[in-house]
Amino acid sequence: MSNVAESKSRELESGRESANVQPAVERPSVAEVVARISADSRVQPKQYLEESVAPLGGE
Amino acid sequence: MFDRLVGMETEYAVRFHPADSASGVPSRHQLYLSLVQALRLRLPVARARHFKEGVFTAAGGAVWFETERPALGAGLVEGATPECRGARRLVAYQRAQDRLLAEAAAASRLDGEFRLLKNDRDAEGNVYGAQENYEAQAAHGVCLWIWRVGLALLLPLVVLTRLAILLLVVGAIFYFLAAGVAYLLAAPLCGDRRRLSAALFGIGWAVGDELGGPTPIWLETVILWGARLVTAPLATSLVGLTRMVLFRSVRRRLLPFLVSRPVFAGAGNIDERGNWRIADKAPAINCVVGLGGFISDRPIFTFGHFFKAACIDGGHSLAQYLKLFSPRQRLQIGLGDSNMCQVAEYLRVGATLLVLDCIEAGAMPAPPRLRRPIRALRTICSDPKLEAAVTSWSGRRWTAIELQRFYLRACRSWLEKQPDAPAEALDVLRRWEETIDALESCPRSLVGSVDWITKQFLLEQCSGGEDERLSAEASADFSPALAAVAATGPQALAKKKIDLKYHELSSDGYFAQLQATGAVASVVTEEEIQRAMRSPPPDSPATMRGRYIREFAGEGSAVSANWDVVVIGSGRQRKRIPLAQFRRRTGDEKPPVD
Repeated sequence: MSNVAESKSRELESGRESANVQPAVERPSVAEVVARISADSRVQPKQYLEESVAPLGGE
Repeated sequence: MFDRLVGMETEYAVRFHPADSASGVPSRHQLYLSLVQALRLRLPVARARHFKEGVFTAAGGAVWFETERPALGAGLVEGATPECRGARRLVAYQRAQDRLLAEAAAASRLDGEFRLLKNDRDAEGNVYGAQENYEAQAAHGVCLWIWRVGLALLLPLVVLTRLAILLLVVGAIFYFLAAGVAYLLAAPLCGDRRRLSAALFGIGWAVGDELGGPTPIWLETVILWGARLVTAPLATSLVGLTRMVLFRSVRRRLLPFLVSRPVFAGAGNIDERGNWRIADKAPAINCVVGLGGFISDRPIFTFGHFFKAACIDGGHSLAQYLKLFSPRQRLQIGLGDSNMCQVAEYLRVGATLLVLDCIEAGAMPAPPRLRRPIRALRTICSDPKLEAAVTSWSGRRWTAIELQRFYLRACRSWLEKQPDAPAEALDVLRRWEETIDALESCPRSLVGSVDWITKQFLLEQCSGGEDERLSAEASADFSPALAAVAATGPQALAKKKIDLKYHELSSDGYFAQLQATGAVASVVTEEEIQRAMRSPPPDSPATMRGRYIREFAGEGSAVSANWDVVVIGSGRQRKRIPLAQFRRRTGDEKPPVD
């Protein structure tokens, strides 16, 4: 990519990043979420799979 | 550049968990109706006059009840974004649609938990998902004239097909008249009137969901196959004609890009044998060109909308059929997964827009012609290490990454010669290149940006350890499809649940939970999504369509619309507003004030 093109692209990116600044909020850690998902995935998985069956009917 | 209209259609699976075991599970049609009811409280919507049931929204999009067999209780919710210009805007409208529908589902007045899943394949192997639509040059020169002459020659067949469909409808009306008389005569003698009603009119009628298709299953089967039979000559002729001349050059140059695109756009999937694949829908694709679902065909390039314009949508007026003579048409791509990661969605559309622009500018060198594109697609999707190679007609072997780099080089070389290239095109190119680099050097860095890598991360992190509850469930009764899933390993069901719940559009969805950690990259801002939830995009036919819907939604008028026209009212009050003039870019027109 040319220097001009690269700087233009970076400019857009930096603008977006500054626009995306969020107020500080307490977020769960990835480890916490992974532990939660791991536990939840073992709770009645068969029922979840059956409830989310989505036939269109043309098959 | 980045000036063409682009839109997405997304089929969402519906999941309902009753509040208690005594509560019944509503039909999918009832779920759809309750969703639309809740949607009306969020923004103005207008009933669509269309061959399928749906509503148009003031934000320029539409929501449909998508089903082929209502009598069997089948059905999904489909959302169509307004047609936009540029990948970033489309991502904002797709996210707005996801959120509006998810909120409406959660707010629906049903006795249970109603959720939508933005995925492409359920645990039973049913395939649905996303389609992309790009406005593109359908043909040039001789090919364009062959297309137009072919369409003109097909006109008598179009008329005959419509007459045959009309006969089927008349036959069905006669059946219901006869069934009504039979019911009146037999009901006084019959002990179980509900059973009689179900036999004559279908279970939907018997349980009070008469809008869900008051048709017995056998009659629906007869009508479905009758319709397929009478439309087969037209369908076959159209497929032959489109395959021969339509988007020919674009298809040839785009195909290897699309076949290798799942490396960054795939959503990941555990298949029925327990194998991990990088794409959800791609393994079900079985042809390059087709109508899409006519007889179990799942093509990469879908021409079903041409068929509908010829024999279903064309019912509105001949103008719909005449629109097919235009050199610019809608190129529909059926190969693509519904993305949860914004970056993947942005790149899926953005890189495709860039490649299409490069092709139409005549700047795309001839790409490698893959020897067996469908087999190549399956090979690429079944190799998460991205080392598998596919063969071109020259005999050279190409990995998916090498194919992507071919397109990257071509687009970069072309963009460098464009002094007025839009910033978004450059941004797409940069992110595309960084993603391909990361796929080679450090795929893990793409967690939160590429869906299959994000889902694979969750599957790896959440596996391990035995669980008694799982063992107990493994001995439960299964459908054949679920039994096959369960047989692939001790934690197969839990893994499959991760595979599916990753896509659930609620705070309980696994992707949403990961997003809450801040580990997921975003492309569009919250303000852009909020604006897209209220107003149509500027500089598009959807701008005017959204305005009319906002104006007429409250009056209960029937509104039918597509990419070309809005029709309001009926009979002598019928007003037809063509949208063709809004197809051309007119500058950054302000969206209507809400």
